[in-house]
Amino acid sequence: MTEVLVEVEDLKVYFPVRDGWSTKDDRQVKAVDGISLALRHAEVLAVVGESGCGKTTLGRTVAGLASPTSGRVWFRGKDLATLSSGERKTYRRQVQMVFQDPYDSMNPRKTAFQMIAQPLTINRIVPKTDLVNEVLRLFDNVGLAPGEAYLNRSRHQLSGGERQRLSIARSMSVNPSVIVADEPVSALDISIQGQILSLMRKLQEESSIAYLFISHDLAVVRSLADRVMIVYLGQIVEEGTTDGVFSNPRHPYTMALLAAHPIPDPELSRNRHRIVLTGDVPSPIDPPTGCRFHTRCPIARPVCSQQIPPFKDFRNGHRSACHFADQLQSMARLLNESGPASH
Amino acid sequence: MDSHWRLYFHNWVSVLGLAILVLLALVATLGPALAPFDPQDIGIAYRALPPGMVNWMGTDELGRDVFSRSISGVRVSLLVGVVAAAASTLVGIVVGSLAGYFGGVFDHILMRITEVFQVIPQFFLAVVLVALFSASVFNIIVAIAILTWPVIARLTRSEFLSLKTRQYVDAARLSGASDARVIFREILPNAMGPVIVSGTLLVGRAMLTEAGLSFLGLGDPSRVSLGVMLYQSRPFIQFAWWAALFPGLLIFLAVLSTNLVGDGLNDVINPQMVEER
Ligand SMILES: Nc1ncnc2c1ncn2[C@@H]1O[C@H](COP(=O)(O)OP(=O)(O)O)[C@@H](O)[C@H]1O
Ligand SMILES: [Mg+2]
Repeated sequence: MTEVLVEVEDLKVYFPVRDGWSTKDDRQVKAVDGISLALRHAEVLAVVGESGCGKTTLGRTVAGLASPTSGRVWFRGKDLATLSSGERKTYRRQVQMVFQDPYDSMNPRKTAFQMIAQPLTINRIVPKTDLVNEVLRLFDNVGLAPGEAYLNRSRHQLSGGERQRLSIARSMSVNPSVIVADEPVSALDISIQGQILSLMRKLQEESSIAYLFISHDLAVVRSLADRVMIVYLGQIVEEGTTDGVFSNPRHPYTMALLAAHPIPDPELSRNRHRIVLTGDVPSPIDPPTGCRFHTRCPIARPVCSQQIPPFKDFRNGHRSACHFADQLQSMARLLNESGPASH
Repeated sequence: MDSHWRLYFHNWVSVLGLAILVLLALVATLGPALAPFDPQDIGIAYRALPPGMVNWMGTDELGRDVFSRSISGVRVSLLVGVVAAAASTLVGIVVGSLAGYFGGVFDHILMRITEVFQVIPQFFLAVVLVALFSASVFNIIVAIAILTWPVIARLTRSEFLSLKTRQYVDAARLSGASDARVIFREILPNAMGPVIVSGTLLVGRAMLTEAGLSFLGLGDPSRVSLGVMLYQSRPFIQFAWWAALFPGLLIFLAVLSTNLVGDGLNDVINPQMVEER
């Protein structure tokens, strides 16, 4: 098996609840609440879940931008918490991030050139004399051509797609081995999304970078990801190979996410029973007892609110934390036959 | 920046403020070269002369030329206003940046201190400080700066609190930028707009405070400031009103112009839509 680059073990990232002036409030936002994962060399691991499920916090922690409340993050076998400052610098370079909002990820006072030149000069990637050429090469690499035309543009002189290309160029500039892509296309027009996704796929194939690819849209990751991890309220509910999860979802939440973005694939949709998601994600301050999804789950039984479902393992590392992971399809069929929402 | 300035010049009130301020600044810098007489020269024979061809603004109760003294007064007032505001802004920016960026205990202490300053009547504190440490221009400047930096610090802090969560700040960190670099290159330039506006408004407030102190007899006796002139001419206002009117008018103009400029800058910076358009 190929080398594990990033390993996360039972990661918890909590934030204090700041309610105005009161400092007595000791409740916490459990943004990430016990996630473990392993990201291998040149692998694309997708993290999918609705907004507010802790995906960004997970990504920022992996990139070293947020610190764990508990649990550990290893990079190439080294615990992040114990890195020396020199090792930390290397780590910073090795794990880069592409952000959700390409507009906000550019300093309003900087030009495209300055934005790409900064990591190159700080990390002494190229000598000063080659700086412009290297920036132009990186522009070209992400499809910003002719590069000269972009050098002096600032963020308001670029389209959304161009901004995200720049963001990608910035993350690539230091030759990382891992890129955390936090919903890199969700802020873009549908027509642009495909272009950026294929750019990311191209770069990944060329440079063998590993992606931790975050998305709220399961459909987006299908053609890109090797493995998929579904998260709900800071926890993993299902994970497996992309094929396994798409063709045989083992958690009602995953089924609901699949139903939310139907895939134009007759073979897959023929035998699929739909679960429709209603309501909002509950507060991560006080997550529901038992299975966290039970408040929105159409097939929930009494046990679901009382007992935390353990993971059930299926083939190829496919696992699901649902009490009824084995009987899902038949339960969903019953649900569909008895008509919409009869409770 | 070009478009910013064009926006500023769209508002004639802001332009007027800037014009007055530039004029006063010229007077202050050229100073003695413009004055027809020595501002301190006493002439028994020329006491309390009304404005005329020789003494354009008249003379005061000791026969000193009010015009020459006013020029000197503008110089002192602007000096106090600008230096006090600059010192206060500088301290406020440093403290506010560190508190906003690093948070924690330091931030907590800063916030408590600024709260204390907000409930103490400021002018009263200035009076106490200057009375304690003798009335010199330097001490007055220090007292004003001590009083006003918390305002700038709070403002800078709140800008930092919101700007430090920007994704470009995260991106800079991933680029390997140190804390110092993130503070000075990424956040501070974007936080400066509102801070500059407040700093400009402080210039007017500082000048008013200086005038107020002088009017209470806590002005620097060795320097002719507009406030000192008001203070000295007050008892004689019935037969030499011009000796009070002109310095009073100049204080008014100086404070008004800095406020107009501050407001003008605020209008330019606050919508912050210029860039987006
Ligand atoms: N810095 C923070 N301080 C407090 N709460 C936070 C912070 N960052 C995220 N959260 C909270 O943590 C939860 C998960 O957020 P996030 O990681 O952004 O989820 P996602 O990216 O899946 O939408 C949300 O409830 C969010 O409000
Ligand atoms: Mg997010």
